[in-house]
Amino acid sequence: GDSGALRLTNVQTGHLKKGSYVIIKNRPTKVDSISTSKPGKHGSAKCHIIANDIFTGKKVEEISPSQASMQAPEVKRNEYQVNDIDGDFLVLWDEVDSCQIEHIRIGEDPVGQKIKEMHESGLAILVTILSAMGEEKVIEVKEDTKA
Amino acid sequence: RERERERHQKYKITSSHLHQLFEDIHWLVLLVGYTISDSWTEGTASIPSHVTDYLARLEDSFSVEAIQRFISEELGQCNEFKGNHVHGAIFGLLELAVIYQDLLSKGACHFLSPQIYSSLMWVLARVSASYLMPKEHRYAYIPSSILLILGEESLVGRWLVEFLLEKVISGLVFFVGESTVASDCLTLLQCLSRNSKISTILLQNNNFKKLLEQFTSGALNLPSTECRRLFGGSLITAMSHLPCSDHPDFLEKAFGRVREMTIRQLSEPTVREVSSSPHTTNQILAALDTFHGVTTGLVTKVVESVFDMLVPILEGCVELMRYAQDQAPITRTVLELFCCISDSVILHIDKNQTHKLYDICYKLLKCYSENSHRPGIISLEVGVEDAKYDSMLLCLRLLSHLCSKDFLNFDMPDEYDDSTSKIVLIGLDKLVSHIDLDLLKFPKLSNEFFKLITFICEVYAEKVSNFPETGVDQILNMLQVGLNNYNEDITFYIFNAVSALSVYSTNNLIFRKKLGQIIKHTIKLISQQELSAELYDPAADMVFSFICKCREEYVSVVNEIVSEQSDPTVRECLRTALSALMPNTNTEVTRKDKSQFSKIFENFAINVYGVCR
Repeated sequence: GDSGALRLTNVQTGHLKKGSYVIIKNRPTKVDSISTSKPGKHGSAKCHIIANDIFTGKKVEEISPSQASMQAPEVKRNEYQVNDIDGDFLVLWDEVDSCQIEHIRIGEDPVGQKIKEMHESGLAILVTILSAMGEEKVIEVKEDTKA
Repeated sequence: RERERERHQKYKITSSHLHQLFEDIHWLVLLVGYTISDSWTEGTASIPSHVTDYLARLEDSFSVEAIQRFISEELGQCNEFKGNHVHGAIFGLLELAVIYQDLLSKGACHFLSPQIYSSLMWVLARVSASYLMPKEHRYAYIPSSILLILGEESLVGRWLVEFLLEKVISGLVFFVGESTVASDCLTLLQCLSRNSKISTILLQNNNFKKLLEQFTSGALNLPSTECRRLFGGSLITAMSHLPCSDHPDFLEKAFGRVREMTIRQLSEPTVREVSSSPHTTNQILAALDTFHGVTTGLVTKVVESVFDMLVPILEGCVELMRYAQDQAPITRTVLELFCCISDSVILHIDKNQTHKLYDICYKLLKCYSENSHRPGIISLEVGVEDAKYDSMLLCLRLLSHLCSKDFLNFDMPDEYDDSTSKIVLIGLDKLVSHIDLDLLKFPKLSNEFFKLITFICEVYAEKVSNFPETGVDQILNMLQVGLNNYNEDITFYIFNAVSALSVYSTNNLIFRKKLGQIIKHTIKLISQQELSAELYDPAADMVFSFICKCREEYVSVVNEIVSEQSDPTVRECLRTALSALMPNTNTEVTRKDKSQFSKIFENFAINVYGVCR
């Protein structure tokens, strides 16, 4: 089984692009923009990375030499059917492993509110869970039109 | 570093001294470059007229042997150079490159200015394009003092090619991670590879062969997308100067390893793991960047062989999109590759290859459509709107490039091949459901979208009118949306689209009725003076086409508009004005009649203002 160890990879700063995942200040982030700056016109280039925390949306910045390595997190997006809502937690069905997941909390955000509305309306719901570095969050909701 | 610190302290060299020195050198490099050379395209540039005038005034008071001796023995030793000022300027640049390389090889990279090396490479590319081994048809414009030293058969010219290649390699090796330096080095390589004589020398050069081996083994560090594209493009450009019989071997040698590795990574079930492995993702993206560069470097005679090499990669990319579309860098890289390939090859590949390309593009668009964010999905994912915009814009450009085959291909076969229209219309149908008002608020995307729809409606009007109902509804709805919400350019596109559709809609009553709604809306905009007078002409064209070809539907439109007015006097005036637009007999849509109608329509627009409420 999964040992729970973080799965990180090294990536050269110069290889990062907009949309790449990278760890900044110990948080998994998604790169929003990269610009090259120099301390003085004739100095070595450094990459100025502006990224957003993939769970909180908070903006973070980092300056790193182009040839340096940074760590990239393993980020997974998985889609699950919502079977039920139990208090503040979702009851999800994992089709791949054929098991129930009951530890994902519904957020106090537009996605969480939409889930509650759709559940009350009796609609079949699909949610997308983003997971990285031991954290998980519901980031997307849509109607399951195949149900 | 300790020794340097001591040396600095001994000679009191401060960082500001170094900075000033670098600034002075940098200015000199740029001044020389701009003075003696021009910007280049296709690997060549003219010599500035003030330089040719200067050289024409001099006597040929130089010695080829002296210059050859200078090259072989004295370059970098700052001895007195014998030649004119243009020679002196060129060799001054080369001396700077020699000094840089000497310092780099002794480990001084960290205090040298990457900016100077970068600009030096940029200037040397311009100088090469202007002076080095020019083609015979330029001989009349090049002074003999240059041709004798740097012409195609000159020893100094050959020496200079090998010298420049060494400097490119030094830049890549020593300035690791400096993407600007790498990019300028590879731009110099690209410039050299575009000259057939220079390219031949490069391909036989041992250093170039070692560089190629490093690339094929994966050991060559190309620090950015631009660098990988430049390198791939340079290799293909160099290959294009080889005899055609040598192309398969070269392709296999240069790209075989990376191609096989990429195909393996993109095949099932390996491709499923890609999204969770940043290392593999980066490898694949780097490979796709290289193939993108290969596509940009294509010339006509190598298109077919390179296309066949790329087909498995493109097919693999469709699978990659299926599993990793949520990753913006992957989606963008794949779509950019497809856009580039469709733009570069569409007019040069044969019928079977064209069908193959259409088939793969169709699968890609289908995959994109099935896996993409649809309107109605609530998402918190950061950057999702930007990613959606980027990818949609690229899809629209891809369709536009695919359209160009029918429009620009004058090699019409005896039997009409309508596969282009099918792929384009089906592709558009797939994309339209993903375009909503939020996405269309981006001006570039809305412009691209309506331009594409208009082009499709104009070129394939008959096919659009016979499209399945849901597809037609979507297209007509988008035209209506465009009329309500956007700028004059888009309104202009929409009028042209509806004008073309009207002419070819004779057999489809439901379609004609739907077009009538757009005509009705336009007339209302005119009467409420919400349509700019500059658009009256294209509006007149559209209304005229509709009246001529859909007469009954126009009468229905008139009745609808009139019945919405409560005041009987207004109703009567409006009916009279609108009916006066109809010619007495069935009229063909000719230019002369359109022109006459345009004047009548303009009067109508002036008179009907304020009538409709």
